[in-house]
Amino acid sequence: MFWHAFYYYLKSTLRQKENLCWTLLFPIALGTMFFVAFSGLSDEESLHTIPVAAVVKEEDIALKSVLDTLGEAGEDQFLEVTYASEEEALDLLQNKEIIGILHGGSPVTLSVNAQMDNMQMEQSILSAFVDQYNAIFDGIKNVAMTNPEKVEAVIRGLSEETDYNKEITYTDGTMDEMVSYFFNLIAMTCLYASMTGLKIAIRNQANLSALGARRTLSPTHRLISILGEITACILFQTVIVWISLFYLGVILKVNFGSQTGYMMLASLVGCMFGISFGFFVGCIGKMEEAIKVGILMVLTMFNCFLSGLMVHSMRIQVEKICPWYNKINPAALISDSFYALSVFQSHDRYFGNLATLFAMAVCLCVAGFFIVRREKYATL
Amino acid sequence: MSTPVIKISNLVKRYHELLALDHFNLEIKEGEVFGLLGPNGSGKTTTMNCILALLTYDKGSIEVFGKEMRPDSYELKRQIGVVMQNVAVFEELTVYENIDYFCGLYIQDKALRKQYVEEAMEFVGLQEFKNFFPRKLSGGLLRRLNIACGIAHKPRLIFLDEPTVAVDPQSRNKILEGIEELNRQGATIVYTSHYMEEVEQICTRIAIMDKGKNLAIGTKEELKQMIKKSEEIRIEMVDIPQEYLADIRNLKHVYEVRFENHNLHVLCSGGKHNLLRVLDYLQEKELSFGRVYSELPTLNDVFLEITGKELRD
Repeated sequence: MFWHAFYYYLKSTLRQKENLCWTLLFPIALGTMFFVAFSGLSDEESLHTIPVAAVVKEEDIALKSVLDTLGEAGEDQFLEVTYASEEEALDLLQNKEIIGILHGGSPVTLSVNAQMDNMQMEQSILSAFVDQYNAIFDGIKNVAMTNPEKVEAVIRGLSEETDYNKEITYTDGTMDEMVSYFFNLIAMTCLYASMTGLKIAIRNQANLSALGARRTLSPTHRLISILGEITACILFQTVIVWISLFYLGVILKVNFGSQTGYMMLASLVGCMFGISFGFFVGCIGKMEEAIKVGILMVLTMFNCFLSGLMVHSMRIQVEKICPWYNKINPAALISDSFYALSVFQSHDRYFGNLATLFAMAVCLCVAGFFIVRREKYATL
Repeated sequence: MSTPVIKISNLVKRYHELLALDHFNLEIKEGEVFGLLGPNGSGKTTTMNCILALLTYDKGSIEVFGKEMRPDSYELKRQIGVVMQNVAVFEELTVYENIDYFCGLYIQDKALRKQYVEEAMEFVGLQEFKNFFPRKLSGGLLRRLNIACGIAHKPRLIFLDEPTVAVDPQSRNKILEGIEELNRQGATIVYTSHYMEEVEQICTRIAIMDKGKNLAIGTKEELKQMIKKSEEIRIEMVDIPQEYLADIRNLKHVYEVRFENHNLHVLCSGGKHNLLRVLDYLQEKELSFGRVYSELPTLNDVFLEITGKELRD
């Protein structure tokens, strides 16, 4: 009977085109939107080479040396320097071909075009560069005047950057906070499996549907057939999440790390929770299906919001105000499982999260079974 | 005497303040096509749901095949087939798959199940729609699928709850013929309907229900004998003087005469040749008349006389 229920429920679910469309396309569409939005952000944040004109004299050797170094072609090229006369430089600035003019001398000064509003960031960077250059130049000049023997040491010291922190990578994952949005997206997809769990509950209760009444009248032990249907549902939803993961990781190249097997396991447990959650909500009360769908939507979105689907820092805020909620929020547990895989070498936190999710799923399923067990109704 | 297939004693069912079944008693014997007839809300479906252990009840007892019917009476349920009032099929499964799914809840053997499913499709005339999805079927065909899903496992006792509601005449005839055939094959049928013509056509015994009570029970002939009216004569006329109406009222076996909308209605209780006597009188008085009708009582007349209201009120 288990396999009879499993086979037909899987067949029936696969043929629900709207369901298939929404559960599969929704995470893919939202994931693509996230990807496009975040790519834009990265592009904006990346530093482009800044075109400048330099008006220098023979004696500005130090400035020329610095500008030549910063203007060297390559990945790290900071400036694109054009040496010009004052007039030529002004023409270039007025024609908006450069961001600013660096005037040699002591101190070095900067001219920018006030009409170039959209280049304020580049102008600020140039201004900061000029300030830093002048400060260093003044410092070296002071040392040369007071302790000329230490000039060489000071220059050497300034040219070396010292890192006092050492970065050690335990995993090949990423701590990029943008990826956590994708983790939350996967968590949301797992929780939306609750809709199919709800359908199982409704289709099995005589007081909620005609199908439920017909099945209640059959000589089949309902818990076995419900278990068959839930298993079919878990398989279906998990494959959907795996397809979403494949799309995000392989097609969009979101860096999820290399622990694919563990990610698939986390998706499976996430879907188990989602379906059990929907099944439980479907079993309680005699409310209409639309109301129960509403309850599931609200709870799912609320939990996803608190786990950081919309605002990344939300989970940290919850951790500060109400830390216990992060320990039972299924969306937070699922996304944190993925996060733990990316960040920590040990799987303790990952398995801890999955164990909590699994335990909650079992509790909800058992509670739902106990309600459905009641096969005689006061009204239909 | 054999054990009744269904025995209901003193059944009381309340929906809060509403008394849905009021000390209801019933016995249905094996091989019967038993009709539960009554207007909407009379308690037919509630009775059926109580028998099937879907609904709790406040008082009384129900036995099916001599045993108490409980939600976990799987052996009893295996012998019962139910066709619900609302169509209960999976929209995403084809005709064949739907019947196979529901048959599979009763029959584990795959080969036997395949045979039963084929037979059920043939029985309701859905072979050529085997691979159709329910949304592609007309209302009548959908009802037939609903029936096939309920009877494919060849049950001994079949409940049919208003199976012909919103069905075209062709499908209705097919359904009614099918029910008679199931009975010929040995199944006991419990048929609930508010269509008295259907009940009269196929049921061997009928219970008339109203307000949760069993008002009368018997064969259709027995029920009709319970009432005063045995014949209603209707004659189309332009007019008739009042004194003649009184004369007709005094004819033998006539107990009520009225003239409405150019129609003379004469109600008779028992006796023979009532029509001839009325026509002789009209001829004697040289009264001209048009078409003449003589109608035997229907179950609606039985219901009307017992409850004072029409069956379809």
